[in-house]
Amino acid sequence: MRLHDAPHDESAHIALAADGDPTARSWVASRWAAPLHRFCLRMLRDEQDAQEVSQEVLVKLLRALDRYDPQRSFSTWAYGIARNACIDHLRRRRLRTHEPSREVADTSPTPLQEASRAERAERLHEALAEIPPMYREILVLYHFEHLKYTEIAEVLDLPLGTVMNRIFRARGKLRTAYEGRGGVA
Amino acid sequence: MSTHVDDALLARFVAGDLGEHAAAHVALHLDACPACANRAREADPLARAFAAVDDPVVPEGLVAAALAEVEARGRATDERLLGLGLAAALAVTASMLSVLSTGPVGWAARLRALADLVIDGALGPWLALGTVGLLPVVALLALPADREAPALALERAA
Repeated sequence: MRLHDAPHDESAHIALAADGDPTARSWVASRWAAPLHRFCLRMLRDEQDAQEVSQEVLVKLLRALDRYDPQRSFSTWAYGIARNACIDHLRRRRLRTHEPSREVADTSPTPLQEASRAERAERLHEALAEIPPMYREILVLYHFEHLKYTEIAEVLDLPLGTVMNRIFRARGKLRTAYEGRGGVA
Repeated sequence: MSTHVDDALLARFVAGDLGEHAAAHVALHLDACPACANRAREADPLARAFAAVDDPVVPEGLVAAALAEVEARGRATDERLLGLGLAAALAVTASMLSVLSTGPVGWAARLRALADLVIDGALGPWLALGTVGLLPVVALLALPADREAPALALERAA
């Protein structure tokens, strides 16, 4: 479980960082750089965009620490900032390029060919890129970031029932896209 | 739900065969019960596909770049605040002095008159006016950096 390591240590660092302590700020940035970059990369599917947006998210997060409510979960607050930044970026990208649906090469394996781990991962990423962002984000938060269902509901600001409904639809769409690439789900 | 979720219900949950309310009920239990959450993941074929994916490497210099940008933006904000504060102070002082300059009076005499006004407490309205004038500036500076995007934005993007 990635999110709940040493929560007391984290809240102490967050409080110090909010007061402007540079060492604590550096600790928070280092602690959250990987999860936020990972989330941005899986939402945006572009290394350069993900680096740019995750830096922007880290800056926003660090500058807004004094407005963070410790009653809330820090992880859901942080992922909320990242989600908004990714949505903004996807919207800008769409306006800029009218993002075409990605061309996908036929990667179907022969019946006897066992796909390697890397191939399966790539196939999953391609399938994820194919489904709409509103479904992609919920799967990324659950399967990659290991958020609980209630935490996802908080990040997305949706009732739990709606989250469940959406996650089942998302799984169905992903399964179709994944199996369409020869993956077995 | 005090006991564990039985296999049949868990299978229906993983397959997405439960209604919204029942699924939310099971989800609440899974959030609180690591054993059942693990069983749900093991029963979910997609979860196995996700588990096979390695985490990406964090770009070198990401943290340092973010910290440097926060530092630079902090400095810029401080300088902007200082500049605005000085400008506001000068504007208020100049307006007070200009009101006092009703004749061929020297600067020393104007400052003396200003000091008299301070001593008499007659500057209250001016100070209030200056403060009210500064409020929009302070409000602008305090605007949150992490604005909340509308909840429906993603649906539109989709």
